[in-house]
Amino acid sequence: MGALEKANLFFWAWTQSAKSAKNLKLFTPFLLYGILQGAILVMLVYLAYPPFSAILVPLLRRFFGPIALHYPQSMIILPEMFHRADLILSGIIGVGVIGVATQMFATRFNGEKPQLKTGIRRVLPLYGILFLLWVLETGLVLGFVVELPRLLAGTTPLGGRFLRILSLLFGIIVGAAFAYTSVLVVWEGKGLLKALRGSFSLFGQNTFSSFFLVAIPTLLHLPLDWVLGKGSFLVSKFTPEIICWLLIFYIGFTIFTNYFLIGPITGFYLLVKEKS
Amino acid sequence: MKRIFLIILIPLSLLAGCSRESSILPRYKAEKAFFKAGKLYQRILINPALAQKDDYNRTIEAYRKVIGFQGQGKELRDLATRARLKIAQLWLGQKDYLQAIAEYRQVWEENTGNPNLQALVGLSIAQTYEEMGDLQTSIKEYTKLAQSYLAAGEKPQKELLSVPLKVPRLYRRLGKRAEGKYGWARGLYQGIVAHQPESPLALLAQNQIALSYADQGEWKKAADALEQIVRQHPQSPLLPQVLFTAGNIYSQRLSSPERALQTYQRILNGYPQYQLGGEVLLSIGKVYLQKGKPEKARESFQKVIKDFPKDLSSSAQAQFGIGSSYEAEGKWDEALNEYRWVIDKYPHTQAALQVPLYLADHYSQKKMNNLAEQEYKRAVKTYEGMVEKYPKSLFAAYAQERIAQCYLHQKRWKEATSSLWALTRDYPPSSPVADGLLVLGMIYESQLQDNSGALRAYKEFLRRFPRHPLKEKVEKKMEKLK
Repeated sequence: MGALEKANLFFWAWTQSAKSAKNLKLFTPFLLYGILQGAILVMLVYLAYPPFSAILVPLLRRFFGPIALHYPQSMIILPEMFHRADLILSGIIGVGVIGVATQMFATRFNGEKPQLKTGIRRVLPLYGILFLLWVLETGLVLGFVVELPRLLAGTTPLGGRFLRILSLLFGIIVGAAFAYTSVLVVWEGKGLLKALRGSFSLFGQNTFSSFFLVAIPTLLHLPLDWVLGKGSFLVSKFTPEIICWLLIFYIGFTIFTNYFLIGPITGFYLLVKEKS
Repeated sequence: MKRIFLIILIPLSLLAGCSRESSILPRYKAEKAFFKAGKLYQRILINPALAQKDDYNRTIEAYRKVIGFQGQGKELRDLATRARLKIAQLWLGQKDYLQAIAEYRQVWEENTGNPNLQALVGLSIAQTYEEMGDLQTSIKEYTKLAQSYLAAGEKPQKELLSVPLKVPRLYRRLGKRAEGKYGWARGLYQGIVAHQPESPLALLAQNQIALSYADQGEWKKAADALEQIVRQHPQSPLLPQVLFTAGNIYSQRLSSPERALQTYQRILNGYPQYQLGGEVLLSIGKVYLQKGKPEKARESFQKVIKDFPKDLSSSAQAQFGIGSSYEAEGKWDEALNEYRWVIDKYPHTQAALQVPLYLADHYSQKKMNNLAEQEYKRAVKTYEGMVEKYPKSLFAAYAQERIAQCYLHQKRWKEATSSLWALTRDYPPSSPVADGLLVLGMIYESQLQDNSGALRAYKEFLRRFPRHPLKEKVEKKMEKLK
């Protein structure tokens, strides 16, 4: 396949996903995940209130120190607490959600009606493989995004901002390399190693398309992440509760970006498979 | 399904059972209320002059909510104390001193186990009485405080060190003899010095001893007290400041220029990075001028301008000093040139304010009447330019005061009174406005023989400066005039 054809497939995958957005059923897995994220946010905002306090207070004190239990500091670090909780949620529930969404997108792109129940039934027996893939991918992404800048800080003449951009770039590349594992497991029924090999091979053949399929939704999040990182400023200039509203917006926005991550990746995979 | 439910439920119930965290809720709610009250307080602080009674009441109410949270724990109690202290400050902001004192007393009673906090609250109570003009009670409170927290020979808080000296100073404000009280204050300070002679606190106490002698005009003893600091605390970062004060006493109070020069030189040699280096050099120049060595003085002044260009105030004074050095040598034309440079190079400084009137007065004293008249006119114009350039500022108020002085020096009483009324009308209460009103009263009284005008000026003075130290004298004057 030539570069132009690959680019064509990339845009086709996006257009197909955008057109399919009319079918609200495709949003259901992301919406359900968003509801769970919302529940976590509510728990963290009401961390001092029973019944949440009984679980959250010792946990937050253990992981964030006593400062997390004081207002308004709890609001300043709310995005960090939320992201950590979300990371765990994505491991437990998120992998399944992505699997179900992949199954529904693939069904839809095959011209059939996507069904949530069918998706769940298909994904449940594959949960173990999806979870292991998530552990591998998340470990590598976190290694690049969090640990790499920490290790390199002070040992290289590169500036902090440059290091952060570089690590983000590596993180996206890892994400792009793992991008097709879900569709290979759920749709094609491949095992762990075959899914990994298949995804890496597809990434090798379609590096740019795969990179942008992951990069676009990821980069769309950056401005919001930047604003959420300015917790102290937001609290001093406005009100601490603005951080809750921003996180609610973040959850809503994630439903949208997740849709445009999984949809185009699944669409692109099916188009490439059809062509080959 | 049942098994999954149990797997989730057991750890949760264990966590809940082990946890003793239910008590954080009242504290957390109180913190939230405290933060919200703080936001309201910030709004008042942005422009207290524009804050309405309602704004204060709403903020006080918000802080009262914090106090209202019931629960156990030190953090919650501390929060309530902080809220009460804020309420006291809000009452002070409204000049409702008695309410503020009531809040402070409440804090005092609620914190019997915290003597440090009690001491600071006691200080606030004494300061509040002082601010409201009840000097007798203020003296009692300061005395009580000093005896409770400074007499014991323990390590007192730094904030309390000014307390003993407050007592004789307030006695003097009441018009009473205070020699005994100064002795008493020094006794307390000497106790602190003797207890830990090399501690930073001892340095501060020794400095208070020097201040007490300075208050009484016993400059030799004040300088000796400062020298003792220099001997006992050779490594203190405060030493250049101590030496500078001692140098100023030698030059300005003890007419001991050699000793002053030695002291200043010690600062320049030992502390080349001292932030007031420009002022030290300036003082050296002034001492040389006093000693009749204008050339040496000029050298010092030029060094100030060269080495401390960012210290505009010192540089402007140094520029003026260069003029004075030429004047001392009888070179008036060069001096005039340097003086005029002050206004051109440093237009927004006290030295620039000084120049126009100084030049006019020079010609007037030399009986060069035509030149003097021209120079006064020029001075008024220069000052009017300053008023226009920096409108409504304190600098403009000083310039307006100088306009009045130009007329006063020319004995043009009508013009002087109208420019002084303009000063009092156009500017908020400040030192030049207070001085202006007093001068106005005196012009009406002694030059224009207009008692009603004088009464009007003094009445305005009392209205705008109700706690001015000269209040009682002005009231007596008014009685006589009536």
